[in-house]
Amino acid sequence: MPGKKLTRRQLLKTGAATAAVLAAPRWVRAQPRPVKLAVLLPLTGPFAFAGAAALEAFQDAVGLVNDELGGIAGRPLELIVEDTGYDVAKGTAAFNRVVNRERPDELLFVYGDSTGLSKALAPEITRLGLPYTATSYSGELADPERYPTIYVFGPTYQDMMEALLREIAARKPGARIALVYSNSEFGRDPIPYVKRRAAALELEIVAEEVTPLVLTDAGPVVLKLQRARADYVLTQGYVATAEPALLKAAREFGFRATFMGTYYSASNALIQRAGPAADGFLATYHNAYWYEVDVPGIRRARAYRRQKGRPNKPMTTYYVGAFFVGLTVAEAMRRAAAANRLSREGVLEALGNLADYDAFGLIHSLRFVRHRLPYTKLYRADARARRYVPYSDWIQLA
Amino acid sequence: MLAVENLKVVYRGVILALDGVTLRVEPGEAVAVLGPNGAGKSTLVRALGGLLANYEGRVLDGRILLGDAEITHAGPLAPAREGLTAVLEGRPVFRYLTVMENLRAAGHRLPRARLAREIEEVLARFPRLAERRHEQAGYLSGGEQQMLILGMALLTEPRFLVVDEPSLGLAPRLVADLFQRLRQLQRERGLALVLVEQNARAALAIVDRVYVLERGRVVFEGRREEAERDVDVLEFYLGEGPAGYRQARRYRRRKRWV
Amino acid sequence: MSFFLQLLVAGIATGALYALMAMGFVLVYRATRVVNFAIGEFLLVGGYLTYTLNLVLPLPWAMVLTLPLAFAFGLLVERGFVRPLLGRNVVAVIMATIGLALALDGATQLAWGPDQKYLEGQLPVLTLALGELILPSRSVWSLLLALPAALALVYALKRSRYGVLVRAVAESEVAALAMKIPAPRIVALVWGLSAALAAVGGALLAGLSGVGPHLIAMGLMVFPVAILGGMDSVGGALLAGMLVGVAESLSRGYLEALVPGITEATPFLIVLLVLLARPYGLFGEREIERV
Repeated sequence: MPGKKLTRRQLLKTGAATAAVLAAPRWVRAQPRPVKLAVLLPLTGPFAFAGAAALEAFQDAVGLVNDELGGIAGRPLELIVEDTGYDVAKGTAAFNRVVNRERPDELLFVYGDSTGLSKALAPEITRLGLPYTATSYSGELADPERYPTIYVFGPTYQDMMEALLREIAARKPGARIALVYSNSEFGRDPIPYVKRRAAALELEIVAEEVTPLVLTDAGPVVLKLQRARADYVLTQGYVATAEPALLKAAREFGFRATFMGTYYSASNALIQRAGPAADGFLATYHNAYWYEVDVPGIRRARAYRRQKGRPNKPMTTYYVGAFFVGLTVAEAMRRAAAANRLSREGVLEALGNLADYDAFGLIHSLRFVRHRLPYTKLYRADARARRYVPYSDWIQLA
Repeated sequence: MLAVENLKVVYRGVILALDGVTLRVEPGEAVAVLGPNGAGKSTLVRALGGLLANYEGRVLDGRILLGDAEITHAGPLAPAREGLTAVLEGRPVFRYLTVMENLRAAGHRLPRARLAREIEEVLARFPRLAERRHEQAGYLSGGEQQMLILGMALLTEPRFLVVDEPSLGLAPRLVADLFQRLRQLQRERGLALVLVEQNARAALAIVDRVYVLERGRVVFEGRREEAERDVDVLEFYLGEGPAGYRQARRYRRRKRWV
Repeated sequence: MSFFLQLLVAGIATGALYALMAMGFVLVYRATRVVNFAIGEFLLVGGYLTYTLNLVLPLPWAMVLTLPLAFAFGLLVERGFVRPLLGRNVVAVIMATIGLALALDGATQLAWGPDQKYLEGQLPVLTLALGELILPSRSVWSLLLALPAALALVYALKRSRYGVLVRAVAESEVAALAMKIPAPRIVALVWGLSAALAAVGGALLAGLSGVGPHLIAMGLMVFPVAILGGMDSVGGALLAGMLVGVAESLSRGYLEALVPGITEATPFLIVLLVLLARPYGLFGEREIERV
């Protein structure tokens, strides 16, 4: 840009970065080129709470990698952040901006947003050969033939439902099941699978309710479930946005079924919002809770935040999930560098050979099976303790 | 005393509607402001009421004094405090409110008991209104609406009452009756009345002094007797006479329907 | 039968909540002809105010104290966004409310952070059981707060001194000013009242699903309810709210099994059908034709 006149806006945008470069001593400029991880997060909009938590996690993870793990074989790991507003159009624009701006030999991984955005971007991601994962655990993304560069860093929603169905079948053979899910890609994703598997496990589906993402009054829904005499209610496609209302209404109407949900129901916010009615809610979760301090990954995150003087507050599942992804992506990059193949292809190859890594205990194993990690645990809501407590050991789903 | 000094008003920053108008009205006096369409009569009424802003108008120069207070730029509620009420053109009653509600809205500043008394007095003065007190004002006849708006204006307790074209659209017989009532009111209450009119003959019958506006300027000023002596001159200015008056009415109607 | 009655009752309670949110919106529209596109944000601000007060106070007190604060917020909005545009084209004011909505989205996230908040404690439990029929506590509270508020508002508009003035200003601001009615103060009052009503709605919703940007989406329910009621009728908003709540509830109970997802569309389908038959909505004021 030298020699060119800067507009005011350009100046504002680049001002801080330029100042930093100019002010830095010479050896910093001589530092090797960075390796970049781009994250497209819902920093505004209805899921800003999850996006903000994930942002903190990535900042911590990248900081920890650079400060304590020696970066990526001596090269610094750099975080690029874009806001998606939980909007497919905005997210696509952000993705294109990042991909067009960054060099392919530096931008080695992208972390994206919703099921909808990920599906929209999937063909382009495949064309670019870009390693990618997302907040979404959609089964459609874990498809190595169609999307060879997309990985799901956890079990798919189908896997999670499988774990819940197995639990139900074990508790009460022939049980009556109701499905309640949000009217979204996120909500519908595992439903066909659940119907198939329920039939195979000889469980009867007696009700199916489609609702908005946020439920004002769950009364009518619960009345129908009650009338259908469901023993178990499986929820999908909410972020503790409908489950508390369902649980409260069930309690008020004296409906005694057991409610269950997948990863995004495993947030303690559900218990805080539903209060005593939350007791017994069963959720699948595959990372660790902030209060599980015997997990080395949690201890490291806590220690790093303390050392950096970052706010000492209980972090959510969204934080831990993103922190885990950050560490794992860095590990794959380091292994690629060790094999002298620090490129997009090299990172993909390394992702396929992570079976011996467990991200400081934040996951059961990183042995990918058809591009997802088919392991989860069940956690049970304890209303008195106001948190989820472990209910099962690791369940292997494939 | 109400004094307007060299008042200049523009609409939307460009259309000059008053071009240096000066006039004075003493307490208890009845004054007519006459003029043809487009002379700036309604603009004068809006300016006196402090309502120019609502019509995208603005005082460019000059001032309006009410007693010792300058109210040129004081906004719509200031002239009220000084005891001036402007009744806008077209009998702007609240059409969806009943007659009683209209009166209560206008007299909202009076204490409850007094308001009730004053409303009874207005209804006694205009028996037609008393008969239709629970009807929506939008369904009243033009004459009834004119009585209602005058009744409402009285409930604001003005010392200076400015009325814009009360005769508009009324049958001549009703106009004569209405003006007699106005005169009577003005005398009884010791009001200063500024009657802004196009119907010169009817207006001249009840006022003490006359101003004639044309194209935003005062072109004639004098006692009623002088004006009456010069009715021909007046008619020239007003473009009036019986035929001209009908024409003006037709023009008015067209304007409202388009 | 009991299933039907239970659905009906649940619908009425939800409808009361809708009505509560819509009445303030309708009041502003009626008095100023401004379609307040920031109504969802009014709910949000109400929710956040309740949350903030709830940090130090029990929930019922927090909700009560939210009212004057929300009222003041409404005044502030009127001062900052509406009054500067007084006398301008109504469209300009409507655009300003859209801008206000965006600004408030950002401002609330800055002030309270992006993570979901939830309220501590609850309102006293008032569950009603009439035989098999159960009226959950939160439904009872919706009815208890919304119905008296609505009826008081309808009565005040119809009968009280201020009500008459509000209606006068609503019909013609300039005519009101000419009659020395302090129109700016009345308009400010209406905005304050609207914000306070929305805040109650926001607080009740927050008790259900926490405080977060999703409250804005809930605010969108105001539009079908207000349109159905006739945009400028407060009583209409009350009845339309009930109608929409009941329709949603019955649709959930009987239609959802046949057409999954229909319930979300139900309010809008009803609006469409009613408007075809009655262009002014159920209770919209018809133009007085006579001049």
